[in-house]
Amino acid sequence: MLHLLLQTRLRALVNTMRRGGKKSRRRWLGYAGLILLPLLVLVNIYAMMAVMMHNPGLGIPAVQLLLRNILLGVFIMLLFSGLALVLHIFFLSKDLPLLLSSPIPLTTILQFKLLETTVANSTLFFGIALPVLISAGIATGAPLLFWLVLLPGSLLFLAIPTGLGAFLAMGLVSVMPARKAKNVAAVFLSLISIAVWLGFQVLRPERIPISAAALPGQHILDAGARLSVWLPSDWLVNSLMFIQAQRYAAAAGNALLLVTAGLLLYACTSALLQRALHHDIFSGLEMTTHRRRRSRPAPLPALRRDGSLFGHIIRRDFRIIRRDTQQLMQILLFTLMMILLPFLNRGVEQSGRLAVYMPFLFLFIFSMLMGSTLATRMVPMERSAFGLFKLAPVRLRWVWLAKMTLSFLFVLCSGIFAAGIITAIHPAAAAAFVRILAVLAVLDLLATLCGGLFGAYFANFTWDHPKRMISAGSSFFLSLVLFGFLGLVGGLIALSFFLFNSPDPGILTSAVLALIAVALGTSAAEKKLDKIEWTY
Amino acid sequence: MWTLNFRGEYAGMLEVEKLHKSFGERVAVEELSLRIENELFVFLGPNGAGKTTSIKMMTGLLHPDRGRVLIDGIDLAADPLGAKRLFGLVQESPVLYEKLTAREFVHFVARLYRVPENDAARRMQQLFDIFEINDRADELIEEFSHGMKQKVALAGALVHEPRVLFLDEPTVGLDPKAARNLKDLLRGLVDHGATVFMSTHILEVAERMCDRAGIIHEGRLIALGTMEELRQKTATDKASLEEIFLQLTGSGNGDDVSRFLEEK
Repeated sequence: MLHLLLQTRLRALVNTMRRGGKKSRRRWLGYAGLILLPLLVLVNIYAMMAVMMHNPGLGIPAVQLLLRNILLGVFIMLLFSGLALVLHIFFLSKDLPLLLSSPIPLTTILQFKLLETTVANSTLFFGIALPVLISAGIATGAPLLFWLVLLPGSLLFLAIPTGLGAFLAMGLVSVMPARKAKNVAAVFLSLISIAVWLGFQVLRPERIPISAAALPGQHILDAGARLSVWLPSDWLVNSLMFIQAQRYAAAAGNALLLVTAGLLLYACTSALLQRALHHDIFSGLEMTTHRRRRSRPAPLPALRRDGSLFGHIIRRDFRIIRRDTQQLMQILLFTLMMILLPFLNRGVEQSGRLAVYMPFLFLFIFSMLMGSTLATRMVPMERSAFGLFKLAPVRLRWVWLAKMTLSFLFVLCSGIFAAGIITAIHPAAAAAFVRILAVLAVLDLLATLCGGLFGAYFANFTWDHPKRMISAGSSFFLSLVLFGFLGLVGGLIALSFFLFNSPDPGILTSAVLALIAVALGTSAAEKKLDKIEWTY
Repeated sequence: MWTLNFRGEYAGMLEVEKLHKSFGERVAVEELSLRIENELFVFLGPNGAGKTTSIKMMTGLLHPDRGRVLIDGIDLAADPLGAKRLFGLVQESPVLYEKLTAREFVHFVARLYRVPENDAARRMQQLFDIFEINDRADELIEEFSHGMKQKVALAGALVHEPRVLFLDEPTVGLDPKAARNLKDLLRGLVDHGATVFMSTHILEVAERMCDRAGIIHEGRLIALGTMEELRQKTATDKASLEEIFLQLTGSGNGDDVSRFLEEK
């Protein structure tokens, strides 16, 4: 029966690749990317390891240190992606009622779902970790045994974060609904991905100092050895690197730890999930997966007779966004990017009169991206309920403007918060800070306007994922328009510097142009929204 | 008109004994007992009355707190695989693999139930004829409308010739012709020995089709019987099922509506 389930899943995968028109072609491009990514990792890491191996003070200990760090990063990412996948595959996938009501043994369903989760969770490993291990093998001239142990060791390593993810998932669904838990896991995964990406920015071959004394080498490895006993990523690295060093007993010890942990986790996870299956956890009823807080029914809010439609829409949309974990997390992520990315530029000294504004460049870019992303979603976010506005005796101009105002306020507040933190790291004079906030406001206004217009013109009301609220082609076009606006504002400010020796006229002109654009954009959006033929 | 060669030598039977399920402090289904044999049984109730929870317990998707379900005498809890081989389920929102074609999906279900290849091919063809999905049988399910998906789900539920068929709002999204075919098909299945357990809100359809009906309200079975028996219970001679339903569930006195209209 297991083979039938796997065969069907494979068939669905093949159908996805072979059919589906443009969507399928885009997917093929994605697959091409999946092949390119490991190649890039392999080349980059191999270059770095080659530098290490040619430096007598670094050599194999440094390679091992690098492997440990990368594998640890991958392990943590796999843990959280495993958690999100377990939640999706075991708790939220739509085929559960079909499988559970069919004459299939529960253990078979469990095995199938575990395999599905492990395979789905392996992309990251095969994309990053495996090329890194292969680079290490090539750079250190590893013996045949290294290559023989590499694949089975990798598979055992993969089972561990998936198993741990299942444990975490069981804990999470006991306190919150599975869908919300999945969103939380996705956010953690994004944060960790950013952290790992930032880590990779540090690990560039050109950043390795020539002097061996600058790198910690063997004594760091020795200090980390105590921690290694507890890290599955280190078990894998150690078992491979000890083979390279021909210390077979130590390699076998680490491999044994990997095997034992992998098998133990598989057994425990199976038992735990099987128990859960008997307790309706996977029945498709989310309500059974968490304890509901008992609370007294809230009294109905009194109707605000004085509230305008404009304010009412802003309050309602704020409530919707606040309750939508995915939207909120995206806002949080963009804000984090705005704050974190200037850190990378700390080492790079800037000079000239514009130097003080340079650390805020990422703030401007991400603030615009966030503003446009949020604004594009404000109209399609309504799905078919947008028809209510079409039926109600209200001018769509005010509906659209209210939505844009909320989006603008969201992004501006996040931007001001991020600017405050960046200023603490890269001090700027008060006048410069005011100018930065003014530029931020102008850019956010333009980004919100663009996003809002794209949201009205290319809305996809039947989206199945927040990213698909507008058509894919228009997302790309929107990015181009945004960078165009960024260039325009930047150009005006530069011109102002050149002509008047001050950025202020440029900022003022940009602000006036932005306000004119908002007035024109509002009319255009109203026309488009009036024209939409409502078919729901 | 369809022709389906169901075996006909059996009489499908569903027995439910004191089935009970609570979610926290809320009782979803309370001590439900039923015995349905070779008939078309319609399960009625207002929204949230416990119809879907009952069906989920009867099909093994939910475990009851207590009570048991027997399909043709096989205890669902004691021998889940044996019992599951004997029934089919169609839910209100069809459960399908969107990336499979209709033919691949129904074939997959046939293999799940270990239907021999020749039989599976023959029945699949018959079912595709009945539901008129032959022309689109090799298209991906994701391209289908809700009604088409419902037809594929029905074909999947019927391909293994279930003795007991559970249907949760099966006519939602079906075009009139497909709905009519489904009704004929269900009647035909019962004539050939199967038992059909159907929940629906379309009382007119239920009234014309059912052999017996059960009305569940706030988790409790408050009425059970043929149309005649239900009329007797409500002391009305010619009441429609809708009137009986509204009288028994206490949702038809119209006081709220009158008050609302008066306030206007």
